[in-house]
Amino acid sequence: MQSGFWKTTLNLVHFLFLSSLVALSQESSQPDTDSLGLVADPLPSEPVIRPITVDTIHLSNGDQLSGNLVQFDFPGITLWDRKDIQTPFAFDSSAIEEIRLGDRPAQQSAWVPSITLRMSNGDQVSGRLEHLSETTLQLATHYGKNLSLPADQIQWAVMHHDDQGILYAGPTGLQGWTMGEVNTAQLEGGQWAYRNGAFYATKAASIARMIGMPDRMQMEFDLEWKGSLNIAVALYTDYLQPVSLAEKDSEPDFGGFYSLQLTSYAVNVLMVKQKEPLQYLGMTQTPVFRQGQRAHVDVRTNKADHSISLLVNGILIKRWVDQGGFAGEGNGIRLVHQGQGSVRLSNLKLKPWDGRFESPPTNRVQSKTDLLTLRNGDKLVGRVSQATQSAVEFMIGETATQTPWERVEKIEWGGVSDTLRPLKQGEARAHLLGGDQLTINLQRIQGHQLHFTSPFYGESALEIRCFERLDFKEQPNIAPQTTNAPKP
Amino acid sequence: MSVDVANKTLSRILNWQRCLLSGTIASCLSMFAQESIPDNPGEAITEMIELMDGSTLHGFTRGLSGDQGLTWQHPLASNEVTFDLTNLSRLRLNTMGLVRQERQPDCRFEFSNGDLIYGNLLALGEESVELETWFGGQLNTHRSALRRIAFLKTGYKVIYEGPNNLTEWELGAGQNGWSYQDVSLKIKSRGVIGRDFGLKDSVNLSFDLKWEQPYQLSVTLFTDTYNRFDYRQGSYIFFLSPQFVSFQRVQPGTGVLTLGQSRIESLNGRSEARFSIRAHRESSRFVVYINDEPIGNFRDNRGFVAEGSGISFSSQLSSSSFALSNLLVTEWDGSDEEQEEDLVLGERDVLSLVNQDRPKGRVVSIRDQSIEFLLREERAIRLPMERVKQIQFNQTDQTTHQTETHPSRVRAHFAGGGSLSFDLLSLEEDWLNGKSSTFGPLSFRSDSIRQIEFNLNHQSLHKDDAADAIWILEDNP
Repeated sequence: MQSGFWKTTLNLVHFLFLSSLVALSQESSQPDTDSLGLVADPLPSEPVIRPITVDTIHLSNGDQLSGNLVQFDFPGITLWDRKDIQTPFAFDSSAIEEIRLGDRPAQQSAWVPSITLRMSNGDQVSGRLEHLSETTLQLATHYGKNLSLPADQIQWAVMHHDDQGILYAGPTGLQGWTMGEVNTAQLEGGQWAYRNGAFYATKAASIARMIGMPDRMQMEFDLEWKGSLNIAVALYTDYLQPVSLAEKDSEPDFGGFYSLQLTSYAVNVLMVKQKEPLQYLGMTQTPVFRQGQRAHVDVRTNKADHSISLLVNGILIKRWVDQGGFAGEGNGIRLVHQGQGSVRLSNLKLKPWDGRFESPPTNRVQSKTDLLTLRNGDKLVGRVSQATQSAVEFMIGETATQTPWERVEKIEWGGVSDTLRPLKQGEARAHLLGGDQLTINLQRIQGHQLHFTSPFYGESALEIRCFERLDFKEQPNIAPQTTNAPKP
Repeated sequence: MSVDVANKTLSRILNWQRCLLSGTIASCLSMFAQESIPDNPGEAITEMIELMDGSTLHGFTRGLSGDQGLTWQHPLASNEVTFDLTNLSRLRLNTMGLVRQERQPDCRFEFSNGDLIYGNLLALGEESVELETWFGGQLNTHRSALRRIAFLKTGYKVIYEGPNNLTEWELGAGQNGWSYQDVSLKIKSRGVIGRDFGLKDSVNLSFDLKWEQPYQLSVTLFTDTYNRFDYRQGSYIFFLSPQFVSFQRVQPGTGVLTLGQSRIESLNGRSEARFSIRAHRESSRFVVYINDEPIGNFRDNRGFVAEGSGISFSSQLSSSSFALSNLLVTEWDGSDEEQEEDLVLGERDVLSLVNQDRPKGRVVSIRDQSIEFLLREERAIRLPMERVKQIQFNQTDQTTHQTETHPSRVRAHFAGGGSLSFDLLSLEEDWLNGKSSTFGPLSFRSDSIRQIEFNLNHQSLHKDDAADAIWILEDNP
């Protein structure tokens, strides 16, 4: 039982703790040695940029082991090798909770899906629609195989349109990015490293690039962190090096920008200009950052109404309005990891924004009709009857309408119940590069092939290079998303 | 005398003879016995290895040698696997022992190669030093290997070492997130846990803290209430977070007063550290060390108000995720481990006396509770040992040590504190054999060792990165 007295005491400590975080959560809040008139340390050496060739296995007793997956059989054993052992481990396959797969050649491709589908079991599948009948949907995927999906198990579909003018999609490497020098008296500087479609930072690090940000912009990315989260995203910056906020006026000239600060304890936006006081536009919190370990971050900016909005996992967290006008003077972004914990950033995408907050797709389980939402906001209620590569046929009453896919924003099918349930022995939740996930009965992994069966997808073999992770046990933090937030 | 007792006694005598006859420092465990305290019956205590890439594996050691490596049986694997030593970081033997010795150690011996031993000084001469330990019996080495001897006024008394299970702790009522796993107390939410340690006039509480999320840990010393906060009773509380340590006094009728606060800079970007929290009734002093560096030095000017004898740990954040391990509770004589930079070291030995004098000169010998000292190397004086707190030996005499890069160079950490580095030879039955550059051939019973570190030079580089196992940025191994 805590008395009021104790609460006061603990609140004091909590306040001190939060205060310290706010102080530290600036781009680079501590004066660096250069600003003190001393010789700055040399730029930290770049991490070795090599593919992660190691896989990691997590076992049911909590153990984890890096190495290389040689072969998986279920039922049976999993052979696991390392360079420092003489013979491979032969683990009981039923004791495996997770396998994280390292880089394999040719994982990145320019293949862009046009549609993302959500299945009743929580799977998310992206690809290009080949054909939809009353019973099946044929989907071409970048996994190398066409998947035949049961049409009555599709809950919703979201279209991705090329004409949205993607400004940036990646990361696909370090090319075009400028590594910054985070050199403070308090923090050990490091650099972002690129691996397998993602940026990683385990020490304080900065990376930036000019993108040509429009007046209305949407920036999305996936964040995963270990330890505390503390990252700052500079928006509309014209300066590619991190800015020491405590010493900003003595930094080389830079134009105004906004610093979106995402931490385990608070979310903040700062307006940063030289010769002007730092302006906090307001602080809020999200339990996702405090309690979770990963999130889908969606930032929307609108110069016309001086606003910056943050959505986390599809939920609007806060909309900040700068009453003094829009201060961003550049057209670049800068990602600054503050050094606490380590962070992985992937699926970064920037594109123009129409200023409209789209409602995320929902599962219309109680409805007997389907809902087709057009890009102009119109909504049609009826039944999806069939579709081709170019158009969808939608029945409104007895009338069939043909709607080209380029006009469609999303389709939400009615009456498709959730069948999401915990994994059974022998089942795996396979996470693919790009964000898709498939629930499969994994039978064998050997060589480059992953062999499985599935009541949804039948029996198939896919390239293991397309997979990022195999979960054999549901984990609270990485359970399938239920927020209906697609990750195109 | 029962048969069992007689057998044990005989065994002890044989061990002692082995110790003497072999000429090695084989552990005279029977004389300075470490008696195993069984954990929860039925709960298998496995050993654990940590690799330098962050991998961790439970299991059992089936073989260990400098040449062949470590042969390991994992409980979920059907085969034994042999690791070479190049990527091994640590072998946790998880010895659940209670150190019992007939004579309480009264010295802390620090050696120039980093070895640290708690024991008793038998004699020190111009060339050699003789000391006695519970785990290795009598050890002899050249005096040049010594860096420092601290004479512990109240001796080195181990009060507790663990954690050994959850049942020896008292858990807070209601929702309580504390659990016991892998010789650690772990928590992923809020909760209080504590126990009576029979504290009297001093304590040195040391523990490893490993965190995955930011933590707020409060440590209450000298309390009799272990399962909740209790401000009706005098106690002292340390609030620990990655950025701050705050120190408060709780006094009935007076309330709570913050006596000090220190900012912590050294934990930025880290996910584990070793804490040492010390309190001394007579001097009303309180000191916090993190990774052997003093972080906070506090004093209660009203005198020492706490009367309890226990310690409690409380997690303040629902989103906390951290673990306490390698808890060691000892008495503390109130003296600090003086930093070398505090002493002007050179070609002379430096004595630290109880009256704060620091005469320089040369220690000629220590015998019969007195020290013969050549003051400024000119004037011979003889001092009673009770006047000496510490001897810092001159650096010019000290043995220079080769860079410890060979994987077979290991450091064994003993139950009750202290560690020795040596070249690993073999593990035969229950005896770990090695060769020390300081002490020559060594042989210990493996159950006197809590853990063995490998690849000593790589420890500091990889220790903290181990938390980032899935984000390995090096192609390793």
